[in-house]
Amino acid sequence: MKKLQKPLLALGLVCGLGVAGQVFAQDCATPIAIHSNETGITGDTCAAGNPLPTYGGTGSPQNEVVYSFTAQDANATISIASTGGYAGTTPALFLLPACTAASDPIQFGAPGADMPVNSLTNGSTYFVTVTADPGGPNAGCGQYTVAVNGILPVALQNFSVE
Amino acid sequence: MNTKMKVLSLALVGLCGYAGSAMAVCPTDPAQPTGAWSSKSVLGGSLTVSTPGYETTECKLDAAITSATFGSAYVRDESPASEPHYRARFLVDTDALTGLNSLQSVRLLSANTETPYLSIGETVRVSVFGNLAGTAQSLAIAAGCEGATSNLCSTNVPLTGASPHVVQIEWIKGTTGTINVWVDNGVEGTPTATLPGNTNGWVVDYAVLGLSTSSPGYRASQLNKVVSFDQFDSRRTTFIPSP
Repeated sequence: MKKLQKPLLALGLVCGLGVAGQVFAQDCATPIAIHSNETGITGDTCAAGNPLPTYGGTGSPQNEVVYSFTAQDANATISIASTGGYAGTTPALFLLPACTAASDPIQFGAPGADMPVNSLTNGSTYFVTVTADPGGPNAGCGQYTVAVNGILPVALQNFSVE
Repeated sequence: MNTKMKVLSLALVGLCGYAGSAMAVCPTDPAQPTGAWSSKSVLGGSLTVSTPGYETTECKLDAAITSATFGSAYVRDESPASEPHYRARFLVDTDALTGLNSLQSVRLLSANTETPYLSIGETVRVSVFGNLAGTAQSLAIAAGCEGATSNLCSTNVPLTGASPHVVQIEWIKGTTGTINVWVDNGVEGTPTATLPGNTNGWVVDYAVLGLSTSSPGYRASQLNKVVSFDQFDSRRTTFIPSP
C-alpha cells in the first residue's frame, strides 16, 4: 500500500505559504498566488506599480498589487483592512477574470465590505488586485492586510493509493 | 490653421435655423439625413432627441442602455480624417446614474483610428464610473501611449457639482504627445489634467458620442437610465470656450 498525504496542497501552492505577505512580484506576468483560507497577507501599494491603468472603463491610475488563483469550486470572501497610508481614500479589492486593462471587474471589496468570490468557472485563472478606491485620489495608496475566508481552489486534504 | 471640423450641438445644427426660437423643432433622429451625425448605433440601447437642451439650447441627446446582455447607444461623426491634433467638447448629464460604483462604467466619448495600433483603436476615450461606495462619479480618460503600461496613458477626474458637466479633450500626436482634459474648467491655460506620452502611432478618424462599452455591472444596475449630451463641438486645434 502506498499512501501519499498532501495536507494543505492547494492549487497554486507553488511559491507559497512561506512568503505570504512578501511582495516579490506584483504584476500580471508574475502575480502572487493567493490561497484558500489564507490570512496575514500584507503589502504596500505605495511600493507597487500600476500594471493595470484601467479596469475596463473604470480608471485605475492608483497602484495595485496583483494576486491570482485558479478557481475550483470557489466559495469565499476576501477581506481587506488598512494598516497605514490611504490618505483621503480607502483600500480596495477587485476580482478580475483576466489581467488586462480591458477587463471589467467582477466584484470589489473594501474595509467592512468583504469581496464575495463565488460562481466562478472551474479551472479558470482569476486575479485579485489590491489597490485604492478608483474614485479617490489618483495617487491613493497605502499598506494593507488581506484575509481569505473560504475556498478559492479546492485544497487536497488527503490522497491515498491502496 | 484654425480649422473647425464640426459643431454638432443639436440646438445649432439639428434645428435648421430655429435655434432660440420658441417654435424650434428638434430632429426626430440625431443621425443623417434629419440629424447632424454621420450615423448611429442603438443595439441594445435607445437614443432620443428631447427638449429643452442645456445652457439655453433647444434640444439634447438622451442615451440609455436597455439590454442587460449588451448595449450601445451612440452617434458617430466621420468628419475627422487622419487628424494629428483633435479637440472635442461636449456637455454631459450623468445625474440619473444613481449609485454608480466601481463595477459600473460606460464610455461617453471616444476618438478613434481606423487602423488600430498596438491593438488599440481608441485614440483617446472618456468613460464615467463610480467610487466604491457609489456616492461619487469620476471620468476615466485613457489614450494610446506606446511604451506606457498596457500602452495606455490614463487618469481619473472627479465630477463635482450638478450636471451638466462640460468636458473638453485635446489630443496631440507625437513621440512626445499630449492629452489635455478640461472638466468644468473654461481656462485654456490650466487643463484639469495633462497626460504626456508617445501617441505617435495613432490618429483620429472618427468620433463616437453616447453610451458604449458598458460594463456588466453597469448593465445590471443602470439599465434604462438616461445620460444626456449636448453641444458637441470638435476642432483640430483651437480651444473651445465653455458655453
